[in-house]
Amino acid sequence: MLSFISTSRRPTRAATLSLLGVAVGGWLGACSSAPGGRDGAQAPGQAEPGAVRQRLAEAPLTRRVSSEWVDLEGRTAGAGRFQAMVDWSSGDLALRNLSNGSITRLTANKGWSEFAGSAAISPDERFVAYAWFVSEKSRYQLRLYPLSGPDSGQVRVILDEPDVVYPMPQAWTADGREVLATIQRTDQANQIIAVPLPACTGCTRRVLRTFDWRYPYDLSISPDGRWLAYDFPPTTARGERNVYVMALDGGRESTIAASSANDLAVGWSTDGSHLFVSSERAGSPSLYAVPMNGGKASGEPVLIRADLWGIFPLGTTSSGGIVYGVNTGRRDILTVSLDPSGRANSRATSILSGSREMPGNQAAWSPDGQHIAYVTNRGSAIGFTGPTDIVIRAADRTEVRRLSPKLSRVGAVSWYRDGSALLLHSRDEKGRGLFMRMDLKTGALATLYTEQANSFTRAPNLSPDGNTLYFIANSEAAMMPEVVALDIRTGRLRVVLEASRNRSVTALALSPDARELAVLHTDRDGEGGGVLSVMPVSGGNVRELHKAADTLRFSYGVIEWLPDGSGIVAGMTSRDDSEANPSTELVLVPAAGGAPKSMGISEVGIRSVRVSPDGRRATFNVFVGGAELWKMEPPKLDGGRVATRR
Amino acid sequence: VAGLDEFMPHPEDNPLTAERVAMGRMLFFDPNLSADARTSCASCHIPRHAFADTLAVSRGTHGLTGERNTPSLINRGYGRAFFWDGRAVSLEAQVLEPVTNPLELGLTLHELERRVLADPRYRPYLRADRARGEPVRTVVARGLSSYLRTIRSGSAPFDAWGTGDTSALSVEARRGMALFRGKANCISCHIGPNFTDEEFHNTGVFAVSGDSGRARVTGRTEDVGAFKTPSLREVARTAPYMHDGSVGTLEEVVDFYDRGGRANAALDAEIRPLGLSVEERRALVVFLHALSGRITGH
Repeated sequence: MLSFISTSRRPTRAATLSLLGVAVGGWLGACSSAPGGRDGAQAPGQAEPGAVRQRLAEAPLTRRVSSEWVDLEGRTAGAGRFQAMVDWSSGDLALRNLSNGSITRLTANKGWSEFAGSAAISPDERFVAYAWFVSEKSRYQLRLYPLSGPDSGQVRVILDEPDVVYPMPQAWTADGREVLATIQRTDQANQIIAVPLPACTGCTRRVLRTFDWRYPYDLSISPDGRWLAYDFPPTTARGERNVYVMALDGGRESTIAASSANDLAVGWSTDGSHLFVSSERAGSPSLYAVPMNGGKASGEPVLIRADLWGIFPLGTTSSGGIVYGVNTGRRDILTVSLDPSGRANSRATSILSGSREMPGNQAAWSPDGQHIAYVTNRGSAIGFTGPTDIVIRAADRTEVRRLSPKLSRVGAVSWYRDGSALLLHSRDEKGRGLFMRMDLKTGALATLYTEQANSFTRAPNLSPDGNTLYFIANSEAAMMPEVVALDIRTGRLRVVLEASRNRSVTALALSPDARELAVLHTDRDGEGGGVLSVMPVSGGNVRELHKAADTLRFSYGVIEWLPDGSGIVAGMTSRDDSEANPSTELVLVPAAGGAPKSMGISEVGIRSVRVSPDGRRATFNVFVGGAELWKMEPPKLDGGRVATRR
Repeated sequence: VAGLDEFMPHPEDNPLTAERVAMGRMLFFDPNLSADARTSCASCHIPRHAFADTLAVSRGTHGLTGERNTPSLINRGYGRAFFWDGRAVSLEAQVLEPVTNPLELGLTLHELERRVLADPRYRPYLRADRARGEPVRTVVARGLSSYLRTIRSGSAPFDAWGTGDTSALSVEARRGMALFRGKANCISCHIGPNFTDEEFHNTGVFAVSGDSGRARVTGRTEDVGAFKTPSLREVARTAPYMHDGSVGTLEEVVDFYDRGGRANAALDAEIRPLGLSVEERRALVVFLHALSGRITGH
């Protein structure tokens, strides 16, 4: 039998996993340890081709359902008439009609102190289970919205526990009596739980399975109600996910798809004979059908459709369709030339050369101005998760280096002054922020600092001598942001700007001479558009440079000194909330004070800006959200119709 | 049992059955399965002590002294590594080792099989597996591991608090829980409902005992002195603590970690001085007591 578990590197793991109760269908890939098990060997950067030999002669038809207000947090089920979703214009729970794309709000939210989150429709389409943030409790509840019946519209709270940070309803049991949700607990462990409907007297919520800091996703139950499919990252070091199926009535589990690329559980065929899996093992996200028998892969997977870039599985329907989102948002890194006054004198162009990368929010110029480093998602099947690479491109856009550190989430990158290393801001397997030095010659990683619990470090700025790291962290006492300086040699922390209820710091930039810090922070009343100030790195006097006009606000995170220290680049955005995607204009604020000057650069979704060391070019990252909703006709295998549901 | 997973992994060829559990229970308490015919698994894994004992290191057949502290068997069905050094990867692989260890039960596998076959109480349980040609030792391992999977503890005050009973934990216990998850950093190893990451960490205890721990299994220098994180379920009932039983009370355990363990070249990066106040250390101990609940499998 062939399996969907890619080429073996350590075949002896199979025996080990078998002893653990994890059935394996054949060879194990490098990343194929059991959920909750210890890490397998680190996978290489390239996806291997996998063991797929069959493909459908005729790829099923797909059609776009909607391209407006598509929310990828909500799922469909049953007949597939609706997708549960969040209406992000109001925070309400809403339903999208998958026939005509229309949206109906279910709740009537008043303000943004409360709002909906992940949602899943029951198989009979009578209920929507959804997460709801309750401001007075400062936590999410799991709620139930009856769509029909005598209690239609009467919201019930079905889970409200102090130990639950976020409940994510994803599926329902086959009998429709319980909601299956993943929850993140306050101790950061993740669990799959089954929450009964209120009609079940005396029933209590059950914990099906506990995982560690990693979370399972894409839950779906087989039509006979016996098997639960999900995906999960097998290692703590990277973000690639494998697909598993566990028995709901015991302790058996099988690895269905394992490779060094992302493998995602999409859903079951209506007869339970196949599990649909999305995988990037062939280099692009593609949909496969894996034959199943007794909770195990029982034959060769069949390629249904290739090149489904940016897909998010959203559920399968009883009529056989597969519903999925496609991320159509824009993530790019643009560059412009600047004249001596700091004004753009060219059109902004992308440095990504048309690649399908999904860069993060920040690029960084090398000290010699010859290269740009940035973080990017490798693959895009699930878009916001998964492994990250660090790419270094020459100024002429040529990719010169791609690094795949054993880190699952790298958020920011900057250069050491001598060009020998990169400073990475990442998160460890336990969700804690890390500052790391990555040697560019050897690739070796060294941890400079691990954040304390709940301190949410961000905005790292390294001093030119590499000995001091300035960043923003939430204070332990007030849980408000403060600016701190880390002496890397001694590990000692010093508070540069204390946390204050009247001043929430949102961005930070170290001046070229390392004497001052520019900080973006809120107004005293927190109602305005923010203030740009500077202060000595030793602490003390905070000098206000510019306060945003009433109609504008400083863009979060957009702040950069000019190389000569004469001014600070910041982003200004309209405060008119009626604009869905307002442009951000880059402005130059004189360091000595005075009115900001436009740099002649305006784009939607600017997230950061970096000026080259010679001051003649600037790069800025843009991120504009966007998604489409698509539906795929039932795949036909061997001439037969393979219908799907749930 | 509240607070615990329903999913408990087991090998495909050893599903949990009432017959296997009954046989395993009988084996567990049977003193005849030892060299002196007076020692059983339960001699060290005493039910009223949460299936641990009160000695620093275990005492086996003929009164011989073992090498390490008897670990509690609570919730081991959820485990992924067994023994302090993790040398067994499943319960089935683990359960026969103490039987053949000369310092524990001291039988050969051949003698174990002979005694089991000679005991008419076991015959009904052996029949089906033996008919399939399974060796007696395999049937014994399946029975013992099945019984161990029924030894569980949950439904503790901590679990009641977790499902919304805010009165289940005292103010001091809640303070202890916050420290456990925050300043004291216990959560970095003792995570999840079973309060263990099932991984191996060097906290410095070995610097006195000289036991190289996980390195005995892996042969790797970086594993010297690393031992498996024990579950904290019922921890208030399993003193003394650490792999060598060298720490007598929970208060002393907390003090040990507050000092940052014991310095050595391979000290785990998570172990560092905590700077806890007297009140904070006391609150942590109060929280640890809230992990005692209802034990099944007696």
